[in-house]
Amino acid sequence: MSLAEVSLFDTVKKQFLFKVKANIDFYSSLITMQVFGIFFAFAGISYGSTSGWLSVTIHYYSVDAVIAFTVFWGFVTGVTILTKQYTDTDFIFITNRVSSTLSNILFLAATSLLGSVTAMLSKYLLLFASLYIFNEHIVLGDIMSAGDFLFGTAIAFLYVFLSCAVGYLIGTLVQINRIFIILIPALIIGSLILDGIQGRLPFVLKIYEFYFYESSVVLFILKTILTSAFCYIASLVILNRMEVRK
Amino acid sequence: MSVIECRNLSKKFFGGKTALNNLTVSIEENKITGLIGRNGAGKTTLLKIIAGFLKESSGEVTVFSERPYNSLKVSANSIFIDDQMTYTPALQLYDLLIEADRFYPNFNMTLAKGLFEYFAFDPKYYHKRLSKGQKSTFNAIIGIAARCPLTIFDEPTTGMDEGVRKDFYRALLKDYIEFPRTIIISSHHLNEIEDLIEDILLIKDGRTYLHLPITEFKEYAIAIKGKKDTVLDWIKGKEIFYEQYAGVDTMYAVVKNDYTEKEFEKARMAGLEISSVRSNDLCVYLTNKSRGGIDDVFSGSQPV
Repeated sequence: MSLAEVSLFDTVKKQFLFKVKANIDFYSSLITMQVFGIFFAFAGISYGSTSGWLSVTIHYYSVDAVIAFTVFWGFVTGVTILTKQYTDTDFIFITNRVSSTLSNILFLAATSLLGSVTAMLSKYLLLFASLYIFNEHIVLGDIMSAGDFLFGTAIAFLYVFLSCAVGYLIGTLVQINRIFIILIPALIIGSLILDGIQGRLPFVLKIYEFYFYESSVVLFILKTILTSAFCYIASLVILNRMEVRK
Repeated sequence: MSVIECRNLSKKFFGGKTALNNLTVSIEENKITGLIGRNGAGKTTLLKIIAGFLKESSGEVTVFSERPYNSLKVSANSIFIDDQMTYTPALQLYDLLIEADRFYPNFNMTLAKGLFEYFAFDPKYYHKRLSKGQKSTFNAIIGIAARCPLTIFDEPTTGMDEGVRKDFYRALLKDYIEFPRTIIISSHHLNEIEDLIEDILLIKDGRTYLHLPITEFKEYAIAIKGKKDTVLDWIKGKEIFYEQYAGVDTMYAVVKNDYTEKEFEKARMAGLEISSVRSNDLCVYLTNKSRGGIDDVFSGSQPV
């Protein structure tokens, strides 16, 4: 009988659509994390000052907390998508490691985008709540312009996607050996302690600054995209050598 | 044309366990092969290497003239069915059929639906909650309906009841006739599949022990029963697969069948009973570590 010729592109497309339907757990975890984020945003930062008969309290609500929680979600999702349950599911139907990784990246990108959009939109939830639930006297905050919204979403997306990529690489290492579950946190905490003893600026903080304190947009985009690409390529190289359905 | 070629194929697992040891075999196109071997003989490892899930440690393996590991071509043209299949918990049984249909180019949805209804599956049920036998049945439906040029069933009937087993083998045979393809079935129960398979591949200790058409295998050995001395005399110099003693002086032996008709005549004259050996029993004898089987364990401790 004649053999079927399938293209990589076609397989990745099928697998991506399959994952959109099958990986519903990641949507619910996204919603849960963002709800947490919104609670934290409400707890907010408040400044109070009193002088004589005048007392002013300013509550500062920001979507930053929601985005931060989404970034954390991205990391966890990046790790989880490589666990045995999800990988074995891939290999029930037609796939190889390349198509499996590419469709994972597409799925992570799509959900990161979804998460970034909802995180940005949560601004309106915060505005609404501060007006009608918390009955703030004066609310400063306006409807974002389309341009601002897109820009904000794009930046949030890059953070979340980068976090997915780092999670994916760590997830890959964990698949090689479970020892990395302990080793990676140990290295991070260890370096914090060591830097603390020696009175240096913590290495982890330097990494944080490298990505989060970047003032040039172009450089920021380059940094995040190149780092994400590195993580995914490194993962693919490792995963290519790994057996499945053991 | 052979679809699968293995040459000196070996697989060592992390930790040193050798599952396959210089195995050489070639499996032809559009044949149904029964893969038989004892627990731990390397059946599953061989099948998973062929399906491209595991990587060979040494030697050479080709499926459709390509190395199967990580090959999209092999993945697209083969399916591997076992009882460890984990489907996504998010999709219901019927949705899983739809997904399988979307992936596999030859998938026959009409057949899948027919079997699905025949085995009375609830379309809205989840695979995780099925019983062991039902899981195997559902996997078998996917395996048959996918109509992959290389279809691999690794102990497909685990947990199935007698009726379902028979139905499954019959469905497989009928669909094979309609749509010939290369099929490998591994099983512990040769008697279940001996009417279905064309070739038998017997592996022992990670090697090909024998690879024969099942018709030849059925005549591969014969059993002789009679007085111990006469039997021993008659089987001298032959390949003995199994021997058993009953009573004081009676012996039962299974030997390779390379006797001539004349010799049989002589044996009968000497009062020996000659009979054929059931294929299933023969498999057990061939793959036993010792010629006496479990009896050897006990005979050692008994005063003679």
